Amino acid sequence: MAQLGQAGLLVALALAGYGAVAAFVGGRTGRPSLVESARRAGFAVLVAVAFVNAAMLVALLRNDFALRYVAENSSRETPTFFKVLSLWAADDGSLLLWNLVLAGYLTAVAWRFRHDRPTIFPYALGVMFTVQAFYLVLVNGPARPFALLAVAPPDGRGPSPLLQNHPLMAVHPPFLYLGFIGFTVPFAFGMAALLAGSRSGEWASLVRRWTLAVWCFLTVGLTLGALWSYSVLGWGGYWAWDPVENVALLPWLVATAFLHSVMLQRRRGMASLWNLTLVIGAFALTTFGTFLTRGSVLVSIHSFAQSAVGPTYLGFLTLVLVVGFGLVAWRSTTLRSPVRLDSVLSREAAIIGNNVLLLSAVGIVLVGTAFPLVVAALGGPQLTVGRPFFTGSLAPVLLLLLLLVGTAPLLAWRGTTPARALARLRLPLLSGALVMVLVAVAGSGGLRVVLGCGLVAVLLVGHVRHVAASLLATRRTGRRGAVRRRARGMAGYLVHLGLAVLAAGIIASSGFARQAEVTLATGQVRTFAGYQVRYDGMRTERQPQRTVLHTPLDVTTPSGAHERLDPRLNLYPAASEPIGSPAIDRGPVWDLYATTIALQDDGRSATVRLYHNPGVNWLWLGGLLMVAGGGLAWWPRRRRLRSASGSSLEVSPDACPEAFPARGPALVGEPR
Amino acid sequence: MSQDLLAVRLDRAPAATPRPRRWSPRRRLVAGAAVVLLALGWIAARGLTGSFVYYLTPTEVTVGHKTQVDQRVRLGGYVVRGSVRHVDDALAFTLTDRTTAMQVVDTGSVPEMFRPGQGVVLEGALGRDGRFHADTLLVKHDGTYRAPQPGSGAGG
Repeated sequence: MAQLGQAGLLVALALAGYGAVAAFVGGRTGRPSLVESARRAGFAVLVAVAFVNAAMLVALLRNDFALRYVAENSSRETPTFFKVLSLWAADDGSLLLWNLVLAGYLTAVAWRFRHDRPTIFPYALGVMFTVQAFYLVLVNGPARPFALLAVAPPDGRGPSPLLQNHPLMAVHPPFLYLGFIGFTVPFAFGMAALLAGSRSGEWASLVRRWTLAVWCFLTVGLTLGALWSYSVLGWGGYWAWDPVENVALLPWLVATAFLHSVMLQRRRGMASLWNLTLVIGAFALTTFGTFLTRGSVLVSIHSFAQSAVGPTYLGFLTLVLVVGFGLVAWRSTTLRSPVRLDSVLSREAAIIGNNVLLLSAVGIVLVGTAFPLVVAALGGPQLTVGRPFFTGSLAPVLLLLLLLVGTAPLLAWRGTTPARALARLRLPLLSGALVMVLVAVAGSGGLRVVLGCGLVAVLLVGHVRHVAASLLATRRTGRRGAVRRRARGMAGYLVHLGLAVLAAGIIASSGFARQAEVTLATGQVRTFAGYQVRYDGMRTERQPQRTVLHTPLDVTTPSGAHERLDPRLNLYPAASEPIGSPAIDRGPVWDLYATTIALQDDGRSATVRLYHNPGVNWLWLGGLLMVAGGGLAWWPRRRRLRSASGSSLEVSPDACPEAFPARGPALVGEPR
Repeated sequence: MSQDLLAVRLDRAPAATPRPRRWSPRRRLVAGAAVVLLALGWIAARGLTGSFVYYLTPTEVTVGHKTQVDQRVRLGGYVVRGSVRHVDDALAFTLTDRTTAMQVVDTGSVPEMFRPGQGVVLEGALGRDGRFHADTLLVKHDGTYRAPQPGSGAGG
């Protein structure tokens, strides 16, 4: 297996290298046959990388402990399900999956453009091959997933207990990978536009839907990551501002900014250089993230192995930054957009505001994450940036963002008068003010909570009214397909509603959560937040790979219903200390969350930490709404367009042609 | 309702008629963004200086005097076996970095993973009694924790 896997990696690297050269040369010299052969090499890379992943999977399933990776991350007692997950449970193996996903995107791009070849396609393909080649170099040298041990041990060490403690581990990393790696596609097309010096803005139209899909994957990945943190780690929270969480959030924020500002380019021909900067920035941040988490720079839960790949990442990151932003600077005079802003009270200005706020958030998170590194690199003291920095600095950004999202979609493109804007905003603003007064009078929560609740209300009322009014108006006009043509606008509003729900969850859970730590003897009852909690004594359960200590709690809810919670401690042979599994009684508004801290007298008494968390489930709902909105915006509309006789008016994105000024290059067509 | 919508769609028209003003929309937007950015930057800068926590070892605290009494720091090291005592509601033990040992009192909660002999990270401050008063005790999740050496990468 080791030899086969190693050979597969070499073949894949050779193919990727060939593809990169063939695509660039073919594009430069205008030889379609060469580009075609590069395109086909993309499929071959996928086959080779899939074969390598299969080889590692077989080695894991067959307990081939001669392989160091298998010996370190699997064992005979590991359940088959977790043996499969071991493929991405540690650094070297996850790089194989990384290559597979990247090759998948490469193939998707090669397949998507099998008939129509945009002029920048060869360069984009070349950039994708180059990135693929880098990640293949990484597993052919600095990291060696197929390294053999001199003597095969009788049994392996098993996966990290924390990673095999919950099945969510099966889906959370693959979604994050789909999100992270997907930024290669917009980056490739952006770089291609820069390399070709194309002024058409074609690339932005080409990558809008790719970015949308990637954004959806990353949203799912982040939501699942928060869900995992909440359901598994047992600290009662969902976001710890751990560097690994932060580096996944950074490209998401940049992608969100891009998905907004790309509208400026497509509708108005504005912000063309800025959008290039954003896609390069998003890709650079994903590289920075992998460097941070895999380059053994930071020590955190997630930084699995001590690997030698750090310098390689740093080199690649430097290359991306220098080449990417160098090209932007070099092309800046050619690509600068001539279109100027008409009015401050316009959708354009609001989108620029959105970008300013999202990038402020990027800056804050980046500073908080990288500051300790920079200080340490300069020989300063070791320090960490605490949670208060993130929450304190990001709270005003979130509040401003809510204000903007609540009001901006009601502004027209190109500008409106203050009087008109005020007329449209009167109802949302009044509702928001009312909610603020109510929350303030109820006396719960500080200034941030009051403001946050009011702004969520502004957003909800404004959006619901706007959506309802649009749907009603469209139905009255009775044009066939009008509702469907409005779908994209509606999709955006759905994402915004998801943000409102998410923000409500964040505000509620950070403003009104309560916690207590109680020590209970068997049969003893304590009251917490209106709940009666009784400890029912410890029970031991032996499973093949671990021993589970159940510490069941009988809970009487304020309404008198009985619930059973079963927080557990899991003892793994590979771990020196037990790993807890919290138990959660989930409700639409409140969660009761219990995690066992310690056991005394052989389990006759237990110390349990109880959390009363409001609004945490709104987070998952908000994430779901955002993904649903993103998916709706992504949904292809080509079939209908073909039947619609191809008139350019029918093809316009939002079916309100009067919103389209007759200038800027990004007007015609509904490209994918 | 459709009347309302129509009005909205037309409401960009007035913007086309230029009215006298000193600043162009672009300049006004840039100025607004600059104000917002400065405000956010100020909040962040204040938050940064207020919320970072130095990461020290017992040697740096007791011999190096790298911290003052009541200054919040993180302290990393190993729990000395046999030193753990429960005093009232607190947990008292000795923490070592294999060079220097110091007394620690932890008044916060103790995670289930807490065991003598293992690596922990404490958050708190040096007290006037020369002991370290911690309110947060973190246990490194994997078994491969190494107490950070001065000058090595950020631990914790």
